[in-house]
Amino acid sequence: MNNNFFEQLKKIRETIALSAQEKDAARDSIKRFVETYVPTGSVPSPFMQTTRYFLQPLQVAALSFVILLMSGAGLTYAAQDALPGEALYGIKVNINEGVRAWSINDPRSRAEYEIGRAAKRLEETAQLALMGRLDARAEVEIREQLEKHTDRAQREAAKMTGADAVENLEVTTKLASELSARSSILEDIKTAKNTNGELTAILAAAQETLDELAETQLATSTEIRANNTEAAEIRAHTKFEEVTGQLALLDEKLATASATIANDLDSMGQELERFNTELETESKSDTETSAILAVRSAVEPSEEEPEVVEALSEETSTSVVVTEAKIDSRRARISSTKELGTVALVAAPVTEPTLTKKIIDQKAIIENLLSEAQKSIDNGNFGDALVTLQEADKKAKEILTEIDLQASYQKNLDPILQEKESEEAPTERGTDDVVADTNELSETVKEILPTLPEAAD
Amino acid sequence: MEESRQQQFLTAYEDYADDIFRFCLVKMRNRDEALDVMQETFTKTWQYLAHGKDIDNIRAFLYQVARHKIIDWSRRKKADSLDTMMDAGIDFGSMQSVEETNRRIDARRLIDMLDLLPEKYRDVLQLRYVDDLSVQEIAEIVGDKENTVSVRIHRGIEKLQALYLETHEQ
Repeated sequence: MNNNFFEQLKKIRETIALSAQEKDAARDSIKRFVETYVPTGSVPSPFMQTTRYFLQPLQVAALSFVILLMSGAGLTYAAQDALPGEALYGIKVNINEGVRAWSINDPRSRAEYEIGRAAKRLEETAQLALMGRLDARAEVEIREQLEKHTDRAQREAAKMTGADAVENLEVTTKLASELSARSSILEDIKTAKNTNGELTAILAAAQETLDELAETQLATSTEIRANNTEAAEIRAHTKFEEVTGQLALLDEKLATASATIANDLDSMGQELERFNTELETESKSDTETSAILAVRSAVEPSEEEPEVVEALSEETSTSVVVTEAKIDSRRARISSTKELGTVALVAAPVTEPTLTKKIIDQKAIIENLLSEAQKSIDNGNFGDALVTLQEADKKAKEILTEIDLQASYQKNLDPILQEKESEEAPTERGTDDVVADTNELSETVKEILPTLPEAAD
Repeated sequence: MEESRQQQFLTAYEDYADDIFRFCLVKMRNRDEALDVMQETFTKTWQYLAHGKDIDNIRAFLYQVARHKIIDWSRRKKADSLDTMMDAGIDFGSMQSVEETNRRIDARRLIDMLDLLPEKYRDVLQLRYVDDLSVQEIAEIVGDKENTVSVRIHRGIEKLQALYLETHEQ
């Protein structure tokens, strides 16, 4: 396959070429240009745009400097909250933020500043999406900026090697956790708002960066593991303290949420009630499955028309498999939600049950990583410990960011989600599907049965 | 001196005009506009040379200029619908035989597949495998580190192969 694949790619090369006339005509005009062109003034950049539809950052800088002189500092101040697609957005991104970026000197701070900018772009994405204003133009603008920020952050991080490799990993970890925490929120918004491709495109861009980061982090980790020095030991201890602190913070978050426990218990009770009804309908559909199986076994004994029988029984068994799969998936869903319900009831939920579950899961992972790191430290493998701790740090940052974001978007999302749920309620009834499937199946059976008169006896 | 410089440049035209044109056409789809950009790429490069500037690798330089021109072009196009144009498919020109037509259909399918990839992969894959440039040259053209380019090529191939298998196993 491989060879064929690359040959195919090379074929593109063979199929596209200038025709002799096209090549001649272009040669003539280029030749004329070459012979008549007289270089004057400064060297024209071959990369310059011939027609300008957008202002370049430096032009924006010059222009807004003029505007600034005329209007005072008010404009850049006003630009602070501009969103993509708005007039002042260019000033915000290129001037307000750009000026600060210029004034930062060391790679680490620069990388962190760019990470902050990337986070801001995703924040703007969320705002626009919630307002229903994330259109193609805003999407392109955000994606271009996002790519710039993440690229710069990665480039700055790449400067930190050798003894600074830990810092490199710390920075890329921070970027990764920002991206994935914010992506996860954007996914929620996407589901809730049922948005078009714009959000998907931005999420895909974030995912690309995450994939890239995972790859570079692997290399950095190897470098760190190899660097088992005293400095690594000190760092490992500091990091350990830091992650332990974050773990405490997570506990605190869970505890704070218990203030609203009465409210949540109530809704949790309703949830559980719904699961019970679902369980009942499930046993009903089990009966339906047995009905299907009965039809199937009734058909099976006939051996005189093997082909027809085989076709029929195949069809029947497919339907049975489909039905069984449906039941299985629902059963899995119910049990996982049920489990979640119980966990949430016991462990003082925050407003969002899935988030609570996530916090508990992540906490367990972080605790595991911490004890693993402790072992490495005890064995004197400080490089290993640092890599493990970094992973724990990432998990902690991710979940903490997500908790904060969830809280700030919850009030926006709740009404949308509720509306959505009431819309979708009828389609979620799996039993109807099962009934419909069974009806359809028996119709088919009825149709085919007359064609095997003897076989049926 | 000036004579030989002109001569060298015109030889570069003979050698690379088709490459640059192909690079433009795959990205732009419109034959006339691709011709214009190809031509402009050469005149801009000559302006640069005529000012006494030196270019190490003229081929990579030409690609670099063309790439910038195409970026400008796509910005201008955003106002019109770029998608409508892309849907129209590539204009392979007029000469045709049965064999040629079959090859074009295959090429068209691959170009369509390349279109499904994010731009940063599409660019490096096109430069590496269709245009047969080295990683070092590509790094120069797109202004990234060689390492980054290698990673992108690698990931791009994975993505493209997955797409290829998807369409060929059905």
